Amino acid sequence: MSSYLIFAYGGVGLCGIGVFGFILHSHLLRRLIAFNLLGSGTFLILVGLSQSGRGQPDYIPQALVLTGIVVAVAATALALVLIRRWAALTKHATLPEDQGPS
Amino acid sequence: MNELIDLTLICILLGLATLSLFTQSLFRSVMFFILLGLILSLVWIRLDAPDIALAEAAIGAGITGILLLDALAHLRATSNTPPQLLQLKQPRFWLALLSGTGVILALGLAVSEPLSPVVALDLKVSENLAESGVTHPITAILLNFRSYDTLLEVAVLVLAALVALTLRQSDEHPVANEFLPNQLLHACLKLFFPMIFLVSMYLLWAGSTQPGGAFQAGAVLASAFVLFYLVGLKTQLAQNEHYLKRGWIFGLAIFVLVGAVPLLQGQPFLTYPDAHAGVLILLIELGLTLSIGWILFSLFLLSQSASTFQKKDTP
Amino acid sequence: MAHFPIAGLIVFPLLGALVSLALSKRWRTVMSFILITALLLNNVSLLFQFYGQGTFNEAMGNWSAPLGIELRVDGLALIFSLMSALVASVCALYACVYLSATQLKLFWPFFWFLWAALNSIWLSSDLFNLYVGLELLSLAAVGLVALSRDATSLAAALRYLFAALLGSIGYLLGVALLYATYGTLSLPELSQHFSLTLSSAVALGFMCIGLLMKTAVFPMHSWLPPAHGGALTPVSALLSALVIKASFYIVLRLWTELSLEIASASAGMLMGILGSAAILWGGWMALNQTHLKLVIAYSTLAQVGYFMLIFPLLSPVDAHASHLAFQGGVLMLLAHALAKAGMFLAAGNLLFCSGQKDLKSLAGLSRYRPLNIFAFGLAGVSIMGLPPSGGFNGKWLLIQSAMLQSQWVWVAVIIMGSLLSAAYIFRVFSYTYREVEGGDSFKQPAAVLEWTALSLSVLSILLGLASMLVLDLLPISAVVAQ
Repeated sequence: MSSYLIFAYGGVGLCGIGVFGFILHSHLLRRLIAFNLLGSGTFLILVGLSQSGRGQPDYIPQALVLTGIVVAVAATALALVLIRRWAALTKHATLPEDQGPS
Repeated sequence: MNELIDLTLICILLGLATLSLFTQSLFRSVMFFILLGLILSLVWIRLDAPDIALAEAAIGAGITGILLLDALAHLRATSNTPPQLLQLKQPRFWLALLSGTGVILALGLAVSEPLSPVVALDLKVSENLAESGVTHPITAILLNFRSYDTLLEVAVLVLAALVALTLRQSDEHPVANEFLPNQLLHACLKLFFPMIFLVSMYLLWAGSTQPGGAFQAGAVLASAFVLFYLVGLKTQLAQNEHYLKRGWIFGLAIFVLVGAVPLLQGQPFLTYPDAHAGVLILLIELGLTLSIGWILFSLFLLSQSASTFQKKDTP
Repeated sequence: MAHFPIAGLIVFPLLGALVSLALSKRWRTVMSFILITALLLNNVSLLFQFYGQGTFNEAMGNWSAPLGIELRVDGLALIFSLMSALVASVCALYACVYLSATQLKLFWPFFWFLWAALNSIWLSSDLFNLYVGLELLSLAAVGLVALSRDATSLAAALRYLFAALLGSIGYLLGVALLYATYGTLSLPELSQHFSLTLSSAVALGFMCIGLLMKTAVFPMHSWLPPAHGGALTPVSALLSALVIKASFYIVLRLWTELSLEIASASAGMLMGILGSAAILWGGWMALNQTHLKLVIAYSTLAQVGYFMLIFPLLSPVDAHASHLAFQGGVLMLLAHALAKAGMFLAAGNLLFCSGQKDLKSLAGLSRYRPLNIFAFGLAGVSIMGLPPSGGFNGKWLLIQSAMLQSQWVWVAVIIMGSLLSAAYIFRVFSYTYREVEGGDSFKQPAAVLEWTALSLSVLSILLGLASMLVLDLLPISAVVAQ
């Protein structure tokens, strides 16, 4: 098995863990971390799998991943601003439906 | 031997991912996540993608890490019940488990299928590289072949900053700089800033021939701005909304204008004239670097005031 | 200047965003309206270019696909581009009067980025470019939801953001698998090499789930009502009329381009079942709401269900029936955009009059604001699907297609859905005709607000009379591979 393909499988693992965490957690910061793991897993699959098909570095998916990383950072930063504002207003880091009867 | 290294890296990666999601303490979660970013950049080197390794270290681990840690400090006041992992009676747990396993199974099956791509896009890149104006293929793709993607991506960044501006404190009291007035730190930073700036410009310049480019350079620049802010140097510039906004759109404006000029000459949008492609790409990248640095810094700055809203209400 | 009209669809909105961020208060609004006019003219000239030369492609940066990104102008793209131009410009006019000065300052750049993202999605024929466009669209939409800055809308924005991010990643996972398998990102090229293997099935599965989550198809809909119902009125109109259509549009493109109806009949069936559930659940929930804007938001959920009925009706054998279903579905999309935007704007005016969100507070308004009630009613005619509206023609074509293929279940679902929508719309009406004791103390909305709402509702009716103009843009070759 080429090392490209090994990392594609690693990406699959990251995606699985990410999805599990994303659905399980109600704390918004943890959800955000899960989303980032999911993103990293996707990027690994994109580059690893395409390169294992060709057997050599492929610059197209690499460029796509660079774009993807920047978009992910923008989304993360935006989410953090919303979460912080929400926490400042309500003193909660979870959404109302997840706060339980307290 | 090499496979052993790869497998070890994967194990560390998955281990860190699990830890970062399921540690009780949120602070440790974030720490594990940042560590994971650093391991990821090693993985990218193993995948022969030095550009992504640089970006992952600077943006993925660096900027995201700073933002997460900073947010964490402000979320202390919130009610934080640690996650209860094995809530076997909760349907949510089973839904999560089912989806996670489903994703792994489906993707695993798809990845295990042998591949023989019909279209050799990578060959097309190398065939047309000579006409792109740069010699580094990734820069050629990002700023010439697929520059339209990059244009929209910069717009995404501006949007994120704009949301931060929307949510900032309504009454425009500037955030007071309540930071360490350390003389030594000041002196060091004055020394360091030109150097960080130089590193950033080098990354930008290098991008046309080797790994590097506007996004990595912009992230480095942003870290310099953040350092500046943390030791309490002048931030009036950043308090003024006009300077903030104009800084964000500087790069996008150059990009749109350079892209639109060929329209007047009867060429498609974003076409560079053959003779000047290299210079124009460098010009766009320079604008993008400055704007990206400024945007990432603004995100850090503005999220401060998004969460200080209630300070004056609490006794 | 052949390259101008198509590039203008991207350049003008981006210029609008730049201008609204850089200029001072007065010039911001003036320039925005100049650019809106330019975009409307631009759309018209693109339409004429299309009549002249038919479907054509435009290579961005003069790099043709698969190396570069190509935009494609065909009938479907044009219909959606014209639709967003109409709805967006009317909403901008409304917002200009309705929003406060601080809100308007932030509204403009979001609005322009939103429009740029929509146009980029309608035109793009590149899978990864569509991903970037989707992200731009989602972030702009989340920003617009958060514009009112209170805790409720923040919660709605957060819920929306997380759903949208998960959806985008699902789509991107699919793109990654498709690129690894076929080595191309260009949709037309992909369709030449496409065959349904295990990995491409998984890829399309992830893409569809992600996109349907962004469209708020049952059962992944729970983020929509608070976001659309809680946002500022012009924002609700933009979100319900345009934003959810974008992700659905990509599903429709993938489906017809890759001829998925030939590859798998059960997938189409599954989409139909989800759609039916959405129609019935959305209609039932709309009937049980106490807030006016939530009624309209749940009605959007139900309407999305009708669009989903296109998929089971695309048949691998009966080209004529497929064509009818496709035309009917697109007509419903268009009618819904006009009618729902008009309905939200009219509802915003009614809420402005009474100052409360509750349906009960509408009592007496039919006497006080007959023009506004008329605007709401005309939009309702199209949503219910009564003749002579765009909604009626769309439903009629869908029913015809189902009858040709003897798929009676869908006919039954469409009729039941129409009855439900009639019920929840007349329920709103009945509240406005009630009389309360004591004098009415209503505020009066500006005339512009009422006329803009009315103009969209009237357009949704006119669409019923001029459906052929739209349907002519969708020849049979747009849906059935030759």
